[in-house]
Amino acid sequence: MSGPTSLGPVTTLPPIEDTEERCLNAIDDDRNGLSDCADLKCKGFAFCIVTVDLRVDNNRDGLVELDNPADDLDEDTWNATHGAVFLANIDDDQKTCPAIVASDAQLASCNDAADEIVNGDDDLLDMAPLKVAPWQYAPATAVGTLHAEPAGKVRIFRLVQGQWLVFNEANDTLTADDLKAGVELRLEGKDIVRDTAVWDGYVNVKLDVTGILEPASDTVRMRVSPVMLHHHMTAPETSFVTRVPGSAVSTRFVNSLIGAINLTPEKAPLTQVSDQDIWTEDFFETGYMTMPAPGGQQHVIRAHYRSAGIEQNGAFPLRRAGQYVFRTLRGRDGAGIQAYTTQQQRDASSLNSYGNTETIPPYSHMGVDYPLGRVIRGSIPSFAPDPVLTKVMESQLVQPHVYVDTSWLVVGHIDETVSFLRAPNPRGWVLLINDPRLAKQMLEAEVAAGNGAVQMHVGKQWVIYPPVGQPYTTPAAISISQVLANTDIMARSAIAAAAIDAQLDIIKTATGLTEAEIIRVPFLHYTEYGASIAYQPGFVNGYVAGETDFIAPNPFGPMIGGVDIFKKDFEDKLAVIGQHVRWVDNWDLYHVNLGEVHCGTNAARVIPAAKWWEGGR
Amino acid sequence: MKALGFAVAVCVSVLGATAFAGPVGELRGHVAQADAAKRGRFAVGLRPALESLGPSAVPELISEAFRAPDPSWTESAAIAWRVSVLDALGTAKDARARVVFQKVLAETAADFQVQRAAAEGLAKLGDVDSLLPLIGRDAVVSGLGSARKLPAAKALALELTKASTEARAKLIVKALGQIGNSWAWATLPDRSEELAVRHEAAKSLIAAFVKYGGEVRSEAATQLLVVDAPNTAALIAQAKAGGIAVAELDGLSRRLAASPIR
Repeated sequence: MSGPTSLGPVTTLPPIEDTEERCLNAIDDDRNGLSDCADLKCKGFAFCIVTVDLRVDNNRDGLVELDNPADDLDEDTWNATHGAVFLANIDDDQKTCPAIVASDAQLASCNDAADEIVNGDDDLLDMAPLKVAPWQYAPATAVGTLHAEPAGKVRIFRLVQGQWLVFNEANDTLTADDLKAGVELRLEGKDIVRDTAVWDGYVNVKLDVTGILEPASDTVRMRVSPVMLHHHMTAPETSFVTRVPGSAVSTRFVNSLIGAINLTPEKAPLTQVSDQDIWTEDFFETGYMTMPAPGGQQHVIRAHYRSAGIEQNGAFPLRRAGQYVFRTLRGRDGAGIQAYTTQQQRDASSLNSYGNTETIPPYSHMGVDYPLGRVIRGSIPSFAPDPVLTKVMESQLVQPHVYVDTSWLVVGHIDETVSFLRAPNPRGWVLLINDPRLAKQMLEAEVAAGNGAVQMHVGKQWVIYPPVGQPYTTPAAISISQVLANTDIMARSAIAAAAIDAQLDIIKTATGLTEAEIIRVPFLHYTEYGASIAYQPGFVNGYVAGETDFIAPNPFGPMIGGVDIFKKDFEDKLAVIGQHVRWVDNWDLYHVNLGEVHCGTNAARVIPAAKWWEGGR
Repeated sequence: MKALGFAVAVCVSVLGATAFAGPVGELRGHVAQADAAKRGRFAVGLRPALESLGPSAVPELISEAFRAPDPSWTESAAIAWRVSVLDALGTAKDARARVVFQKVLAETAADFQVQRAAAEGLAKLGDVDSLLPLIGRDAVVSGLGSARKLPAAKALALELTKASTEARAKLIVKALGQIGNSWAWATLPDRSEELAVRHEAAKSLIAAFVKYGGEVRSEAATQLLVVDAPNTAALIAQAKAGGIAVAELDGLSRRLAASPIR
């Protein structure tokens, strides 16, 4: 110990790195082998706090906010309450996909995710935003990398000097300057989920920073939007119908459809598809993908499935009219989806038409919510639609599928017997279902009333209608008594009644529907190729043209006292639920060809308010 | 019959491909168009159009059954036309068509639908004896359901016990439903065997319901509703005593109690 009188040397203690000055001087002041922030003594200073923060729209408000903890909290997990969303960027915003292709596969392969550029401002909107939060004091040695797992499912873009450039995960890095400034990123999905056994739709994007005292990382978990199908609770934004060039009967139908649509409050614009394939419902199915957008909105890419029906061998095996999905509907915020195998059940090929794909509207049953409804299709093991397409559709998860047997129908579509309509009841909708027994009972009642000789289908013809030229016709008029005495019609109608009962049994089990929520639609069946088809125009098979309007095929009698008994029955039932029936004559074009209004129309509907990411699936 | 045989011979050997120039021939001229517009595997609308021609068209239909397809037709167009002709002949229930059906059934390589239509035509004529030797063929089983004769029902019941695959069992189950179809029976002038046939069908269908699961059971349930035999409830009770598929039988009872066809 020295005092004032001590003559010993003056000892100077080494500086300690515990001040801002000493923690930023790039000197190992205390010579402990660690300089500045690498020295734990500097730990308490802001500039020594490691900021490795990858941000996403974790709270699903459409924004990535660095000052909002909700965009950071539990960002490495994904559930109904939080977790970022991205889209499969498979539209063609600038409409640059080529018109001339060598195969169906090539036709489907083109989209905005197929290249490594941002295809304009609209394309950018289809990508999910991410940010690397600025790390102001990132050391010069710091290096950042980004990786998405599983590999190959997404592509990351980075904003560099006002340009969006692809970030090559294998080679590209973020420099210390990048980390200091922060980095703007965008992420695009390269495809939808096609098989959950292969990919479940989730990606983990990880930011790693090395070259610092302790390597640090941040991981966010994101999920690609499923492709959802529309249900009848929302009105069409666009209606579709085929107009066969040069066909008078097609033109008549289109004009009558326009007239009916114009009676609806929505008056959804009608897009006329110029094609020889009159089955507009069948060759494509409308759907959509969404991710959160600012203001509680959803950013939407409409995604359309092409029919998986195989028509021929060769490079273009699929139903030709389905190319519409790519040639017309693919565009700005419009995508096409193609999936099929040539190993599908060829006898069941008709099941790949989308008249065999409908959507049960939203409901809850037995404590389980289905906020986006459930897809319902005709399929049994021995008579099933394309398995690859089915796998794709099931893999979307948010509209769990219900399957019923439609193998007894010659066409085999669920829309031949079932539809759904908005209704002012607690469930919000009713089921329309064909009831051959009711049709038989109504006709028997007319016989009992002395009207057995009254004819049905007066003035109508069985028609072989060529696209162009004169049709072959034979009269379709028949008396009520003749119908009831027709062994084939009665036999087939009984089978239909029992088979529909089996369908209803499955639907009731799945939904909990009660009789009060079911509207019975009376028409009989007859036989084609040993299977069943609507004998009278099947007016369950109509087009939901608005929230309160159902366009149905005119059943054409019988007229009793000037009133069509089937029309009246249906109109009365629908009036109870506030629905209007708009009758159109689809006998010549559709009914005689085993279809009805619904088969010849399609709709891109208003996107439901329900958000799939909140649904818990 | 002699006159018919002559007419057919004339059609085939003298007129050749032109055959009759009647309404059937006129419709034949639209087959390619119908095929081009088909929905599914085959062209539609041909059968109802042919049936609407009525009994007077039978001779022309008979000639068409043997007429070669137009060379320009697709295979599906040719099959569709022949099936529609045979179906229309079957609906006519005209004995003159018996030989047509028999000859078609001799073509063992013919398309399933062609054979089915021929078998159905014979069945509608009540010609069970011609069909029973061929019951091993699936198409014949499918057609036999239209026979509505007790020997046919018994033969189908026996075939069901021998079915080696579920697909075959399902096919027979459908035929049993057809043969016992209660609404069809109500249209027939001769209903003397109705109850016996429906009983036989129901008995076999209950057995199939218990024995099989999956599609065969589902189909059996549907066809039991179609047959709607008065003794079905008793048959179910009897089957439940066996202790197999009791819960499923209860479910079947519930569906029968709220029958969709009664």
